[in-house]
Amino acid sequence: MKMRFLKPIMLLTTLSIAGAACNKMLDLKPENLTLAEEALNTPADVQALLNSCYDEFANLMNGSVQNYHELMGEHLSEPPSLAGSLYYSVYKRGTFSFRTADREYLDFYNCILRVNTIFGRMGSVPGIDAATADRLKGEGYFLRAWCHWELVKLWAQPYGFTADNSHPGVPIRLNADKSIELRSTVKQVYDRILLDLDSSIALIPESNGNYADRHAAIALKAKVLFFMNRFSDALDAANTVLNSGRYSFSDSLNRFASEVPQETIFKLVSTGPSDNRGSALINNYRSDNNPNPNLKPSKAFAAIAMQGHDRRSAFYEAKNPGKANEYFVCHKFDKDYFNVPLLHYTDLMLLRAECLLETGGDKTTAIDDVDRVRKRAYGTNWTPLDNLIPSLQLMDSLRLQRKLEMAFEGDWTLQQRRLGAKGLNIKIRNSPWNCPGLVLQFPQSENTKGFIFNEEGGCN
Amino acid sequence: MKRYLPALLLGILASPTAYAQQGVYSGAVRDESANPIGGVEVSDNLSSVLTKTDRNGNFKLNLSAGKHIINFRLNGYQETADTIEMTAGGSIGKTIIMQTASARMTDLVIVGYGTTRRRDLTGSVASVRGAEVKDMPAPSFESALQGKVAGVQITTGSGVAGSASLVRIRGVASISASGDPLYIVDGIPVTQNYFINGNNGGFNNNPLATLNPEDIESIEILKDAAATSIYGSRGSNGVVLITTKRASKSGLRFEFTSRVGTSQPTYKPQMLNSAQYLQMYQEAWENDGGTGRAPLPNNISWEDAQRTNTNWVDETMGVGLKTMYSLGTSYKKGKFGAYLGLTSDDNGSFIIGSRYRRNSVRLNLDFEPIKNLNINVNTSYSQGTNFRVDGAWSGGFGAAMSTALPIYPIYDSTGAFWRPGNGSLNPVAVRKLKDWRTTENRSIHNFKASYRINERWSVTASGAVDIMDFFEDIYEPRALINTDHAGIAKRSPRNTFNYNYNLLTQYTFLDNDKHELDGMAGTEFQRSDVKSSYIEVSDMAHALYKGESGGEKSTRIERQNATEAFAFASYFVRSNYKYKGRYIFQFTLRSDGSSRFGPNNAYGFFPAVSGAWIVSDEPFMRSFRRQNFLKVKAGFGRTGNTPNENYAWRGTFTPPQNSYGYNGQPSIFPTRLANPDLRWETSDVFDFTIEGGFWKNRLTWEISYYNKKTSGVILDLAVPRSLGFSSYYDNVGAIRNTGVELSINTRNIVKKAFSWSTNFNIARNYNEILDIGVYSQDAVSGGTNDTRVVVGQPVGTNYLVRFVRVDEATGRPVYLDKNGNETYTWTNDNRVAVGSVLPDAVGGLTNTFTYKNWNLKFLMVYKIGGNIYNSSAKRQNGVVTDWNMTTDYFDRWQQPGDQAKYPKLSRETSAYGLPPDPYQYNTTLFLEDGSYLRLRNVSLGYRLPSRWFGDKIQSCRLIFTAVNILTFTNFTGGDPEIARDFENPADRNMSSNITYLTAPQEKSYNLTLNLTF
Repeated sequence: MKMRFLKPIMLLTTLSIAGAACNKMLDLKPENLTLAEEALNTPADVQALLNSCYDEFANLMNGSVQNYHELMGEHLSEPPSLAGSLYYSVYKRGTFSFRTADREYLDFYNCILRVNTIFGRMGSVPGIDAATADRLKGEGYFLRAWCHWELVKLWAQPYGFTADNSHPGVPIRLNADKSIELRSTVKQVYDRILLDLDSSIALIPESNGNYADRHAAIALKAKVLFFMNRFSDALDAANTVLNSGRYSFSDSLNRFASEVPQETIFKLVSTGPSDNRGSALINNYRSDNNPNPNLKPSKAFAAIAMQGHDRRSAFYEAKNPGKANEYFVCHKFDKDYFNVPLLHYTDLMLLRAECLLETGGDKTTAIDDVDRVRKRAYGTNWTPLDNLIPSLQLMDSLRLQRKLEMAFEGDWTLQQRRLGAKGLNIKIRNSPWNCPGLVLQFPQSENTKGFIFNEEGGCN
Repeated sequence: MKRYLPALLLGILASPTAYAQQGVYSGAVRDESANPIGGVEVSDNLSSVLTKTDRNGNFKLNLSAGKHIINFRLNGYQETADTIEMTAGGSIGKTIIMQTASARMTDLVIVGYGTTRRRDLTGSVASVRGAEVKDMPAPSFESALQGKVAGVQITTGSGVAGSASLVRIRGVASISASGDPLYIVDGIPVTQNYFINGNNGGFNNNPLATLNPEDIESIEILKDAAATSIYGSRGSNGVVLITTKRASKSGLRFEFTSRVGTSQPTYKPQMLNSAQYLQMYQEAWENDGGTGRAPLPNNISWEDAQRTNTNWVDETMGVGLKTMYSLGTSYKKGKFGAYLGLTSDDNGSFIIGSRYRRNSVRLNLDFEPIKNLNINVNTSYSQGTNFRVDGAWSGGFGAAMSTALPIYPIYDSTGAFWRPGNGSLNPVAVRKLKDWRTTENRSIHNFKASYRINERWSVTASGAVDIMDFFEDIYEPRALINTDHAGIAKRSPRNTFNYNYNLLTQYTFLDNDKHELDGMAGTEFQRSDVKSSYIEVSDMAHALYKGESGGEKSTRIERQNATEAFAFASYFVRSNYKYKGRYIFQFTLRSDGSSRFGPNNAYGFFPAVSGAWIVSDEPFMRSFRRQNFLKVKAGFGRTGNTPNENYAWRGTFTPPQNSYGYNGQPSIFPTRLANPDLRWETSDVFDFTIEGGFWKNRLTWEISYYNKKTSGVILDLAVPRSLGFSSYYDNVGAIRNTGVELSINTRNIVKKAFSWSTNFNIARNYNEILDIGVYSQDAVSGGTNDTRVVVGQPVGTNYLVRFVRVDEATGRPVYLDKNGNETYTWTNDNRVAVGSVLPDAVGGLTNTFTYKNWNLKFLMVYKIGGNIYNSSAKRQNGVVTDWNMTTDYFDRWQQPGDQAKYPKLSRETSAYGLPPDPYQYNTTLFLEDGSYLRLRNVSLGYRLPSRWFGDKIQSCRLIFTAVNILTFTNFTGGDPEIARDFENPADRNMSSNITYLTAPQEKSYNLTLNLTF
C-alpha cells in the first residue's frame, strides 16, 4: 500500500476507536422508572408488587365494575344520553367493540399480569422465607382467581348458560408473557378460578391484616360456587367462614358510610379522600352535595325500597316528589371516602340461607338468617317469619332482602342471570336473562385470529 | 487516441526552432460564481481537443505564434471561445468564465456532509433556492415548498397561526414511527417533535416555525437511498437539508424586506342559523314521536331561542393582519465574511385571537485564521410566540362548527358572558377570559473548522447545539373555571437540548484526466434531552409569563418531570469514483447506533451504491444536437427509522416513590413489557432516473422511478388487552412505496424584454401495506376510528361501513353488510376498505413571465385522487345531538318518497341502526373525493428603475402576492387541503385527510417591498 494512504487510514482508525466510547453513551435509561430487570431484588420489592395488585384491583372494585352490572339491570333509571357516554351504552345494553368497558378489561388483566410476574420472578429473589413465599403465592392466587371471575361475569354468559358450559368465557392468563390467548370456555375459566382459590386457601395465612386471608379466600370460593349453582359446596364454604367465630352479624345498616368491622371478611382500604377506593360509587351516586348525580335509582326500584317500615328507605330520597320530573337519589354512598366491603357476613348469611333452601337443608337456620336481616332492616316494625313459611315464600323473602341489602353493589343483576341459567324464567328490564347485550362486548384490540367476539344487542 | 493526434503531431514536430516560435497559454476556467470547473475540453479552432482542465479548473497549452481561437466546451455550459494572439516565447494567462447553459446542471448541491455539482449527482436531490421560499408568504418555510418539487407532498397545516405542515417525500414508509423527513439545519438534525405540547387545544406545535425563512439560502430535498443513506437510520422518509445564508459577495451589502398582508379563511363553514336550527331540531323531535315543542339543549326556552341568533363562525373568524420586516446585512473582505439577519414577523390569523409572532436574529461568520484553516460559525436566536385560542375538538372555531348553537347568546341579560356550566359552549367568552400563549425560544449554534492538510486531504470537525425552550402559559380566571380561587395560572416549560458533533476526513486518491476517486469517512454523535416541568399557582391575577407577583397565590405546585433522552452514535464512509468525467459511481455506508434499541440491535448498517452515466458526453451523442444533455442514474440502498418513543424496548417498573401505594404501603408495578428484539425499521430503495436537456436546455426534464420496500415496520401495536398491556412496540409487517415522478422545465420564450418559463411536476405514488403479521386491521388506529392498517391497502385506509342510500319509504339509512347485502343495521363487522387518504398523484405548475421590470408568477398545485373523510360531518349531519348542523343537511328525507342525500332527522341512534353511540356513525356517507386544483400563489413584481435611486440602491422591488385565492374541488366540507391536529405520529401518518372541525386554509393578500443596497 502506498504511503500516501497511510495517514487517512490512521485517522480512520483513530475515529473508530474514539467512536467506540459511544456505546456507553447509547445506554440511556428512563428517569423515574426502574428497569424491569432491576425491579425485584428483595422480598420487600415483591411485597410492593403484590401491594400494587391490590391497588389495581381496588381501582376496579371501587364501584366501576359494580356500576356496569347495575346499569344493565333494573335498579337504575336511564343515565344521561350524552353522546358517547359508556354508561348510556351499557344501560342500553348496546356495548360494542369501540364503546365498551375496555379500561376495566385491561386493568383486570393488568392485575393478573402483576400476579403472574410475582409467580414468575419470586423464585429468583433472594431472602424470601418459606412462610412469606406461601403468603405471597396465596394472595396472588386469591387475586388472580377474583380477577378472572369478574372478567367472566362481565364478558361471558353465566355459568349454566349451556349445559356443559362450553360457551366462550374469557382468556385465562397464567404467565407474564406476550403470548396471545384466545377465549377459554366458561367451564375452563371457572375450573381455573376454583383451582387458584384452592391453592390460595392452602397457602394463605389465617390472619393477614387488611389483606386477603384464608377466610376471605374461602368466602370468595363460596360465592363462586354459588354462582355456579353448586349449592352444597357453596354452603360448606360459607359455613366454614360464618362458623369460624371471626365474624358476626351487626346491627349497623350501612356498611359503607360507617364501617362494620365484625361483618367485614375482605374490604378495599381507603386511607383518605385522595386514596379513596370507593370513588366510582361516591362520584356516581353521592347526592348530598350533588342534586343530580349520574346514577339514580329507578322509580320501580324506589317503589320497592322506599317502604316506610324499612329503615333502609333512608338510603333513598325522591326529588321533585309527585311532579312530572320526579327522580330519586341514593344516599348510601354519601361520604368523602370509605372502605369498600366486598366480602361480608350479611352476603354470606343470605347465601347460606339460599343454599339451605336449594339443598333442602336446615330451614330453621335459613329462616333465622333471613330474619336477622329483616329484623335489622325493619327495627320496631319487624315481625318474625313463620317457622312454617313455605320454602318458595321464604326464598322470595330472602331474595327481596338480598336485593335491598346489596342494592347498587353490583349484585342483583348477576343473581338474576344466575337464576336464569338455573332455569328460572327471568327477565331483566323486560329482556331475557340471556339476551346478548347483557354481556359486554370485548374491546376491538382483541381482534386477533381466532378470537370470538360476543353477539351484540338483542335486549330491547 | 484519435482526438489527441493533433497534439501528438504538434509534439513530434516540435523542433528547437519550432519551440522557440511557441508561447504558453494558461489559465483557469470558472463558472459565474467563480467555482473552478474541471473536465472542460479545451480545443483550438480545428476542433481538436488539446487538453482538459484539471479539478481546479486549470489548464496550460503550448501554442504556436499567431492567432488562435480556443474553444472551451463542457456539457451543461455554454460553449465559450477565446481569441488570442500568441507571440513566440510569449505567455498569456486568462480566466475564462463559462456561463451555465442551465444553472441547474452546475449548481453546487448540498449533500450529506459535503457538496457536489448537480451533474455529478448519483442520487435524487431536489434544490429550492431560499429566494423561492421567502417570496412565498407562508406560515412556515416548509409550506413554501408546496408544488415545487416532484414527489414531495406538502399539506399546509391550516389557517391557525403557527400550525404544522405535513411533509411526505415519496409516500409514507412508516406507521407508528415518524413519517416526516429528517430536517437538518447547517449540519444538525434539529428538534422536530410535533407533539412536544401534545394536541393541546386541538393544535400541534410546529417545531419548524421558529426557523426564519429569510435566513435560508437553499433547501435540498434528498429523496432516494443514494442520497439519504448517508443519514442511515433516519433517512427512510427523506432528508431536508437547510443551508442558511452567508456572505458570498465582496463588500458591504444590505437587503431590507417588509411585507404587509391579510389573512382570511378560504372557506367559511355554513352552519344553521337560529330559525333553521329550531326547525330542524323540532323535526327530529317529531320524527322520534315527540309531541309539543322539543326540549332544547341547556334548558333554553323557545322564546329565548327564537330571540337569539348568534353566528358563531363570524364570532370566531375574521380578517387577520400580517406584517414582516427583515434586514439582512452581509460583509465580505478577503477571507472574512459575515452575515447578519434580523427579522420581525407577526402573523395574525383569520381565527380571531390566533397570532404567531417571531423575532429572530442570525449571525454567520466565515474566516481563515491561519492558512488552509477555514472556520464557520453560525449562531441564531428566534423567539416564537403563539397567541393561542382553542380550536377543533377543544372549542373556539371548533365549537362554532359544533357545540356552540345559534340559539345560545354571547351575553346573558345582565351583560355578563352567557355560560351554562360548560365554558366551551361560548367560545367568545373562553377567548376573552383565557390568556393562553406558548413561547418558544430557539437558538441554534454551529461551529465548523476545516483544515486542508494538502491538495488531497482535508479534515473537518464540527459541532452544533439546538436549544428549544418551550413554555406554555395558561391563565383562567374565576369567571371561566367556576372556582373559589381568583384564577389559576399554569405554566408548562419544556426544554430540549439537542447537540451533535462530528469529525470527518476527505481524501482524493486519484485525480487525472480519466480517473477521479475520492473518499470521505466520519463519525458523528448526537444526543437530545427533553426536560419538562409543571407549575400551577392558584389565586393569581394573571398568567405566569407576566411573573408570579400579584394576586393572593394561595397554592403553588411545581413538579419536575422525568428527563427524556435519546442518542445516536454513527460512523460513515462515502466514496466517489468518476471515469472520464461521465461515468460516476458512489458508495456510501453508515452505521448508526441508537439508544432507542437494546444492545443486541443497537447498531444498524445502511449501505447504498449508485451510479450515473452522462450519456450526452459520449462522442456518439455529438450528432444529437438538440439533445444537449442526457444523464441516466440508478441507485440501490438501505435506510432506516426508529420508534419515536425513547425507551420503547425496555421493560420498566414504576418505583414506589411514583406510585400511590395501597393500604398506606408502597407499591411497584410493571409499566411496560420489554421488547429487547425491537430493531430498526429498514427500507430497501431502488431508484432509476433519466434527466435531459433539449435545445440548449430550453427544455429540461427528469423522470424517476422508485421502489421502496420497508420491512420490520415499527408499530405501536394495540395488542390484545388480555396481555395486561394495551400496547407495545414491535417490528411487524412491511410496506411498499412505488412511484414515478416527472418534472419538466421549459423556457418557452427567451427575449431580451420578455421571457416566459414553465415548471411542471407530477408524482404518482403507490402505497401498499404488504403484511401486518398476526394482527388485525385494528392493531393501529388513526383518526376517529376511521382509518386502519389493512393488508393490500395503503397506509391510512378508510375502513368504513358502506352507506348506499336513504330508504325512500322510511328515511332510514341503508348500509351494505360485508357481503354487499343491504341492511338497516350498522355494525363494525361490516367495515370494509373503501378509500385511502393518500392521493394518486400530486404536483405543481409554475409559470413565470418577465417583461422588462415586471415579473408575474402563477403557482398551481393539485392533488388527484385520495379521499377525505369528513369526520365532523357525521355529527353535524348525522344523529341530532348537542351539535349544530350545516346547511348541507337541508337535503334530508322528510316524507315517504323523498330522494335525499341524508336520512331523516332523528335524535335516536336506533333510528339510524346504530349502537347507542352517535360517535360511531362512520360510513361512506361522509367519505369524499379529495382531488383539488388550487391557485396557490400569484405574485406580481415590479423592479423600480434603478435610475430613480442612483448608485446607492441596487434594486428596489415591489411585489404583490395573493395566496390560495382560487380552489377547484368537489369536496363539500370546506377546504380540501387538510392536515388535522394529530394525537401521535401514527395518527399523523394515517389520518392526513381526515377533517374534524379543522380550520380551513388561509387566503392572503400581501404587499412586499424589497430593497438591496
